[in-house]
Amino acid sequence: MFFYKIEGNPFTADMHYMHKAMAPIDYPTTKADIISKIGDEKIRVGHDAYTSVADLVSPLKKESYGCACEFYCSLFANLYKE
Amino acid sequence: MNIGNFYALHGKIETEALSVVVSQFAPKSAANWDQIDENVDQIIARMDQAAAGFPGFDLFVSPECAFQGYHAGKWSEFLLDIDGPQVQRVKDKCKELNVWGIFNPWIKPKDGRFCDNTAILVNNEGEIVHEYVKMNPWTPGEPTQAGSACGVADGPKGAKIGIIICADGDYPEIWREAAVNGANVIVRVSHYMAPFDRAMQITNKAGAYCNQVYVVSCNTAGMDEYYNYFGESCIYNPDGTEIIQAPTGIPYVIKADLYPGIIDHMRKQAVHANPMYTYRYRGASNPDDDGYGQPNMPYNAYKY
Repeated sequence: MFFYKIEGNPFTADMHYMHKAMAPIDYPTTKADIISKIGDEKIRVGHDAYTSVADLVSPLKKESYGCACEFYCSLFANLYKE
Repeated sequence: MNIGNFYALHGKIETEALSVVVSQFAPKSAANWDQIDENVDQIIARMDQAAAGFPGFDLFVSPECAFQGYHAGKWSEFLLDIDGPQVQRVKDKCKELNVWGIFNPWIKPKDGRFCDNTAILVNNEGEIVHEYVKMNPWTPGEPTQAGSACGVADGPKGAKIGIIICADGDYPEIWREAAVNGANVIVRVSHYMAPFDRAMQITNKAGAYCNQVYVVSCNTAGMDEYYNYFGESCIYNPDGTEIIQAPTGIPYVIKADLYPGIIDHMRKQAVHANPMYTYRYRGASNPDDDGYGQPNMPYNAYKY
């Protein structure tokens, strides 16, 4: 979904848009809280591709995050799953 | 301030300014009680100077050994009582000026042990709210008993203050211990002499950067019968960059306004450069570890 899986003309601003969307989130927080607050936000993940925050966050194994680093580690771990 | 973090730091930061005055000077190497009193006079005078020069400041920091110096032959004859008149004078001065203070009396423990190299945090009511016994005495030349904990105390303006003493700072684990215990400001008082001037700067900067914490360093400046104490007291940002540094070897006062709430905010909201999380959850972004990382502690240095 993110740029590292796109060949040819990679789109590299996906995490920029994701982090912009995460701006209202204060930590500690939960997966449910993130989805409740910004789950419908559309994240541009390709030149002509979008997905929702809920689609990105729902699969994460962890349900709560003490800090932003913990959330993003969970997010990255999931992004790299085949 | 936020160097090393790729990601924007989101959220509203609410913090008060902690106005810190660091006063570097040299005590006499006391060989009698009159000289102890003269050293206390000097501490008091420096506090008055701070009030005159920096109206409204919150926290006064003085060097290690400021009460007694370190007389090579006689220091152990002039240990203080934590409840004694010398310590009481600085407590009273804190109350009078309505400021907090950090001081370093070498204490004769009431249980009969030899000596504790003790740093105290006094609040603006003149009460000792935190005592720290140096965990890494400068052995073999400093035969005090090593302390067993590096606690953190609530200070003014949102500060969570950890105190370490001189040679403590040469050991990375004590910085980490203070930070893990919640310190957003680590104060290092010292009686550090040449040729360790560069070492003090390096370790202070590393302590700040590696633990995402303000570092306030107050060192003796002057000479005694043995050494040149280089001063160079300094205050560092949590990315290890310098806010201000005092000159070499002369009495001097530096002051800076710190924002402890920023540290607390960074530890919650920072994506990268969040060592207090990442050191405990190594590799947490690895898909096989699924956000949990490797929770075991593999370092033999921490398991001996």
